Amino acid sequence: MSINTLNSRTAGLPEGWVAAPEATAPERVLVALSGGVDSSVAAALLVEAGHEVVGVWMRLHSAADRVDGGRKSCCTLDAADDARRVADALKIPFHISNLEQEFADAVLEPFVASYLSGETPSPCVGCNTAVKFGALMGRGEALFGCSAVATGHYARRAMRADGGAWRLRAAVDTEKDQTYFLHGLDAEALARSRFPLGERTKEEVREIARSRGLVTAEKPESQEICFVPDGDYRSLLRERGWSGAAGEIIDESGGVVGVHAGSAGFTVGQRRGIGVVAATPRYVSAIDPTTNRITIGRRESLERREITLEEVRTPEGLLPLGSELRAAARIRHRGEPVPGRLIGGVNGAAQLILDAPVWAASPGQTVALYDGETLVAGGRIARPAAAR
Amino acid sequence: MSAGRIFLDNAAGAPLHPDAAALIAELHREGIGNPNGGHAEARRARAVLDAARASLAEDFDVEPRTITFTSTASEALALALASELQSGGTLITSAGEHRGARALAAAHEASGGRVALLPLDASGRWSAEALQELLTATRADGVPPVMLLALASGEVGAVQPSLTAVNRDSVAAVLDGVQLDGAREMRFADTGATHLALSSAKVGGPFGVAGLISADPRRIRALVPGGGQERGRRGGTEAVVLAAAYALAHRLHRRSYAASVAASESAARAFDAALGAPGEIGLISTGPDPRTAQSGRLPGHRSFAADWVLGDDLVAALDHAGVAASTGSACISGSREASEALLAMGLSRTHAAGGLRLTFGGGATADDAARAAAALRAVAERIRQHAGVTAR
Repeated sequence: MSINTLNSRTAGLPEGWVAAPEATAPERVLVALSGGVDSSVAAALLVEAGHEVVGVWMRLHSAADRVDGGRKSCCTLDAADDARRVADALKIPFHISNLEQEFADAVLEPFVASYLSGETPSPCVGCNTAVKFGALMGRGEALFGCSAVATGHYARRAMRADGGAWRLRAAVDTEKDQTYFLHGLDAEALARSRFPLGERTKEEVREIARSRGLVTAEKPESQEICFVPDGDYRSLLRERGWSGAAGEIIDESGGVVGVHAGSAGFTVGQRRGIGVVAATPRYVSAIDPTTNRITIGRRESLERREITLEEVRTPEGLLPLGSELRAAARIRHRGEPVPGRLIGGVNGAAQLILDAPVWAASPGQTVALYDGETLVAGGRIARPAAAR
Repeated sequence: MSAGRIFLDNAAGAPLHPDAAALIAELHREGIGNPNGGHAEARRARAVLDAARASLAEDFDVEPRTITFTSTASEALALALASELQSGGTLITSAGEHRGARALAAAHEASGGRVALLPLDASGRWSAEALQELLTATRADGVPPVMLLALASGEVGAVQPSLTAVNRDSVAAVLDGVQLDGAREMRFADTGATHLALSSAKVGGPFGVAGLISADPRRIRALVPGGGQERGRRGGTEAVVLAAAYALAHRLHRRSYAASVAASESAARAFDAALGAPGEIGLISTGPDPRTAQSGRLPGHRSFAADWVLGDDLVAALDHAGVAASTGSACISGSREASEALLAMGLSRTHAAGGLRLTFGGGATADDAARAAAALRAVAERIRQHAGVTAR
């Protein structure tokens, strides 16, 4: 069977694939405890299933040290305290592992570079791929002999019946499904990842936490980017030397309609904060960092049926040149998947031709491609050639 | 401690002596409370506190009035330093000091004061000659300097030169005797200290109590004002029960220190023998060479550095293998900061972020030592096989 022959949105799993069971034979698993309810319950479920569990809280950056209170972020010292208390309640060992360097290399620096080049980054994808299921997985094996890493992500895994290939599969709780952010996991990472919450709903997870008396049971969801505690990524760019030089705002006919304070402060699809008054709403439709110019247009002008992607991967590697597959594309987390055709180009580039238009495909953002519940490939929206 | 585990972090806190634990329980049962009152109950508490102070005084050959009880040795150092440092005065210290002392130096610098660092040699020692030079240089300032130095390094085990050979006139010496107190029979007068900070938990006493011995306690200016407790040197009701347990533990330690020091060093040597050459597993020894520097190194103290793993991660891996160890420098885990002491000793930044300290107690057996060495070998080999993922 090849993914080329798959139809999009077929329910369940492709022929020849089975759901990967989360509770296999007892093993030594590292659980990435964030100090939130999801990873707490993931750890609890693994302990109850008889696995030997090692809890690790990752120290990823110092941004959160400067912000006090707010139980919303996973990266404050308060979060580390909560993670420690959960580990203590579950009677599992707990360690703090410093992955600041790995996080800076794989997430922070690319995040800054992405905005400065006119894109809108997806930092959680890089964090999952390179840090949690990359460096942390390596540390778990090297330091503790762990054969797998578990997180509190809402996702499931599918396995080819012969065990030779792996895919991500959407969580049962479709509202919470996080496979979009996990698309970069390769076959090896998938084989060694564990998602104990994949079959649960958020409400069930909270109920499990309550029934086990875990201190994190009622903690609010974390929403913001963990290393931008105040929610404004532009302050991070300024720390990195971005001065936000004024530039022109042009309309789609090229006429100057206003000025802005730095193109890196904008995202394709953004409506607020443009400062241009028009009869109908205007949205950022393009960002050109080389000219420091942003283009705005009407809502309909941001619709696209064809999108160029880059770094498109399946768990086996870069999408092969000339391959073609039908899949449903999700261009943002929780976005409705839109069926289409993906045609592999050179070096992981690909052309995505959709059956229906999508709105505001922002360069730099992730596109996850599904065959039914199964995630078959993922990549990034490329910048328009003119802005590169 | 759980069965089967090997505790090799005695420099951070030795296990509570059972007799001290029994005394704490007994005094709590008796209902020892506030010693500052005009009734029989207060007098009983005061008598316990007085006896504790007198017992410690005898151990260090000083007058009881020279001892101020504090909660920690860091507090004792802060109290002494605040009493001695004049504005514009230079603080003479080293990069090899305990975190608490390094933080005091940083605070002095942040408030506009000057800090002069004594250079450390490759084994973590400073020299009396270098200290003499610094004293001469800083005396020209007009404002007398103050020394803030440890008698021995908790991090790399180096026992420092005696101050008695240094000509210092009236320059105050605030000394950290915490680590050396566990290793030597120490008389206050022999240390050359103006103020000597000590800790209960390093000699088998409880955490939460410590002491400061001062040559002239009238120089002390309280950091915490209060109702005249500790002769006005430290406000707040005294921790009578903890002080009593500290004094008892210290006395017991003094009585048996020769045997316990011998036992801890003997276990450490068994460990050396079982480990073999540290270089074989990618470690370098730090601090004075334990084979040749018997008197220059704290007994039962071994320290290493790796450039293929963060110290905290190595400690975590050893913990998982049943061995309680330490990096020797960081007080809070999760930091990837390089050790100031190891940097000052000339180690690379990666080695300086990969410190490991193993400190054997008096109860350590040769079997513990052999198992600890085997665990370290196994852990190091496994981590080094994954060098690609753990390298920085």
